[in-house]
Amino acid sequence: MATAERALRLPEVRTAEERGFLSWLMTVDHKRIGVLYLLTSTIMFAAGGVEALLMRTQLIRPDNAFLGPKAYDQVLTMHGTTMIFLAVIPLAAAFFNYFMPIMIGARDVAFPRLNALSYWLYLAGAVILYSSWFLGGAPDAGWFNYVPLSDAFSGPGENFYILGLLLTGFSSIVSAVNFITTIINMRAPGMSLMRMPVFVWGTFLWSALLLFSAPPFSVALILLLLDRIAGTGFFVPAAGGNALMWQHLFWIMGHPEVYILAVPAWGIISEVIPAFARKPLFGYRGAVIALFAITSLSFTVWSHHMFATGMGPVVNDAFMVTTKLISLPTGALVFTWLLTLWGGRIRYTTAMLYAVGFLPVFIVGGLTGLMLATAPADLQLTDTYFVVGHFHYVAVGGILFSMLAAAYYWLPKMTGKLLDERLGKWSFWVTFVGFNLTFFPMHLSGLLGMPRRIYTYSPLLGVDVYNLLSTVGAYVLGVGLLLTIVNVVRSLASGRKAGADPWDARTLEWATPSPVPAYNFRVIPLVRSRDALWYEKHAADGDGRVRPSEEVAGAIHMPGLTYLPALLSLGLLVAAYGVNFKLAWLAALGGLVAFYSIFRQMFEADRGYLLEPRGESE
Amino acid sequence: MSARSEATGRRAENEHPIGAYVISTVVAALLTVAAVVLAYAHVAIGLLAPLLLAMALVQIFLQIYYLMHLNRSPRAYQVIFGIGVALAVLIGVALGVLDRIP
Amino acid sequence: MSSRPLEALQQEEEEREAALHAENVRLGFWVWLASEAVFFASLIGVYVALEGRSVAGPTPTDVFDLPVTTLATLDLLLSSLTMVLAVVSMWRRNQGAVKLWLALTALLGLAFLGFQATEYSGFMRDGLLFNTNVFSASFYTLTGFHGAHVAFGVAWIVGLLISAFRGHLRPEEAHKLEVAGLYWHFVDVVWIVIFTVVYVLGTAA
Repeated sequence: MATAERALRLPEVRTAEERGFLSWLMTVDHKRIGVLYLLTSTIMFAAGGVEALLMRTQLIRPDNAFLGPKAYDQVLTMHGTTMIFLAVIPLAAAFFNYFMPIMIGARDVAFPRLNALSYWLYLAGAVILYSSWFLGGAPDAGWFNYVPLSDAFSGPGENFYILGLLLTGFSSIVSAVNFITTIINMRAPGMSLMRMPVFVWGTFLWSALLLFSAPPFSVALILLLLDRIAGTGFFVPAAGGNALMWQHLFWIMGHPEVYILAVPAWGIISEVIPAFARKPLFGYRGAVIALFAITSLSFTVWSHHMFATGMGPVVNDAFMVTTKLISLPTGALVFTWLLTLWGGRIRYTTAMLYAVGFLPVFIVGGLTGLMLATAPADLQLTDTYFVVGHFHYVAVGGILFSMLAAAYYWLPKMTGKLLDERLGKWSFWVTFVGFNLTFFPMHLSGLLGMPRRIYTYSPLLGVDVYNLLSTVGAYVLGVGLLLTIVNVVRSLASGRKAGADPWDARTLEWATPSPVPAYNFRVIPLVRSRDALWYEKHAADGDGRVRPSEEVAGAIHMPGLTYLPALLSLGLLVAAYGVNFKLAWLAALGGLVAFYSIFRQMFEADRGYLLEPRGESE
Repeated sequence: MSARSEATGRRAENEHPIGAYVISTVVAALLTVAAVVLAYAHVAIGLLAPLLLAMALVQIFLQIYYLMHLNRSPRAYQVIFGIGVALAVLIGVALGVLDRIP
Repeated sequence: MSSRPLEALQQEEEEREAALHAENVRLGFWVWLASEAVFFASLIGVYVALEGRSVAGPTPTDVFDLPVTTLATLDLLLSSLTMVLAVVSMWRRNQGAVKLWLALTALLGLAFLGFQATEYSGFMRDGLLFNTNVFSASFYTLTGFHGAHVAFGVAWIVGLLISAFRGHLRPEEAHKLEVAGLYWHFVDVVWIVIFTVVYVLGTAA
């Protein structure tokens, strides 16, 4: 097929990209991959949400028998694992994929095929994890999967955890390489580093965090897999191994992970607040420096999750200091948002409500984090519901709210249709009330001594009323989130047309039509300032449009469709099942398919095709 | 972009005396053998350490030199790799040392 | 629409795209290697953390055969040199030399794998199976992952060699060879750390 004659031929010219069902399997367009990420992570989010409601239903009153301890442990583990690895990281990846290249004025990411690979690997990981429910039971050792809960003598579910997360970890590294390369090399003329939107900085640092934190975790997973299937004793003290080593390796990933979740959120907030305060971000340079500081420091704090393991006062003190240090740049970030709001002409759209709602709850989550970072206090608070309350204020209030802000802000760009603002505002208030009702009482029940991760509690503990409130709150929160889903469906069916720039916004994505055409920009733009579009709308020498950076060169060269990324990930999926069931032939078969697709990919030239845009130039 | 890589390409061609590669490879090899002979003879670690260090460093620098010059790209690229290596050292040392601290 | 003919513009655009792609591949590979460095550091850290903690079975000093391992190290060191020569030949547009040096690199890589196979089978004869103790487990895991990287590198170099023979490896595509070189040197750096930390220090201790 790849004869020299064929390779030398010019790519064919088309007037439209492929739109059929199969084209979704073969697409390399960063926007369509972004849509795939968005759909899959929303489904995963719903699954994690149902698991949360199951847990809250079990905990509605003391000594409840709705879920037994076995089922509860599985639901608990799957809730945490799903939300972190299968819902929030890919949700961030969805927005990064769709908007980062447009925001830097590029036509696609640096490696479109690797981008597709990231998605398919993520999907394969999700399939493995969720197939565990039907293949002997889900993992039940918590999302942290501590040994000995997960050792060779525990249930079959942990293998699915290990193999699934190996695949999603690989997916994350591939994304990270791709995004970092894209941001360094693919910026439009004039888009200097310090003119990039903070969201793009967020993508960059998110990628750096994943790039360096996924490998230690992969090593931990591989060693645990070997302990479970090959009889080694890496984490088995009786064999000379070290159970704490799992915790170290896990949290070397696990703490940067917190910032992997938070950095996208901060990037989103830093776009939404300036857009609706109609002011540039206050202290842009400081915000970028703060993000860099947080990213670097996040690799030096992991053992604050292990204060209670008896590492000794020297180690505990060292990690306490680094953890407290990280609150300084985080505090600086909060001030950049507050001072951006200060004196702005604020429009409380739904997106803005979520962004503003983010601020107080994120601050509460940060402050309780400081309490937990104090080693002597942590010994008292660790493993209680106080911790659960703390990290849900960060994860739901901080991160989910910002993702919802992103959805209300950017979905009109993705679908071309506006969401209903009235329903949106209802969704915000129901979500906001439900959220606080769910998670605030947890601080109190935790302070009273209610242990986390346990399927029930005693009426003698005096926490009945807090748990009842939490459960009611969880259902209210669920209704609030459903309202957003209803809003999106209604908008897709009968929403008003959004137009290119419905919010009078600031950055380059709003200079493209909604939905964005396959090639993003007819002509690569020339960036003359930070907030590139806003600048052109108000520049004395401008006509309100972003200037082109080059002459129009006719047809646009697009990367070709390919099934190889999906095939590679299918091969790894098959191999993972082979390992799980100890079927050497199945593992070898999957491995061969993967190997074939890698080498086919490495030595096959992609000629792509030329897209002749129809109709008017922008 | 292409002008820059052309320029670095030309520079790289002129600055690649093959003799230097050969000599440095030989030096690294000799140091390796010397370190191994001492280790094999169970020479006290205090005597061995400087040579061992020299061996490892020469070899690693040799490789890094190859890495940098093989690759006709801006220095900034290597900074990212450097960060990875620094983190690698941090993690490697932490894992090896942490639970031996009182 | 434009003062220059469309064909020329299109041609210019293609060249710009190709240069950008080569640059992306180089940078992407550096970034990927940074991640790999952390991966191997974790494995080496685990080896060090578990060193001397085995409760049974042969220990490093019982099984290591340092002179043979030294030969393997020199072999890998030499393969780095041949890889450099392949890349330099590419820049000098000497296709014959590219093929020669690539073939030599692949052979030296294979020789290293042969050494590793011999070493493993010798260890197994000495009673050091994969799950004998924590030394064997961490040793085989660390060197196994390194060996797998060497094997992948050999396959890659053979692939490049095949495309060179089919005339697909043109001097404008030097970046394809350069990143393979990057990978090969990286694998070599990792081996030097393993050799120093695991073998030499393990024997001297």
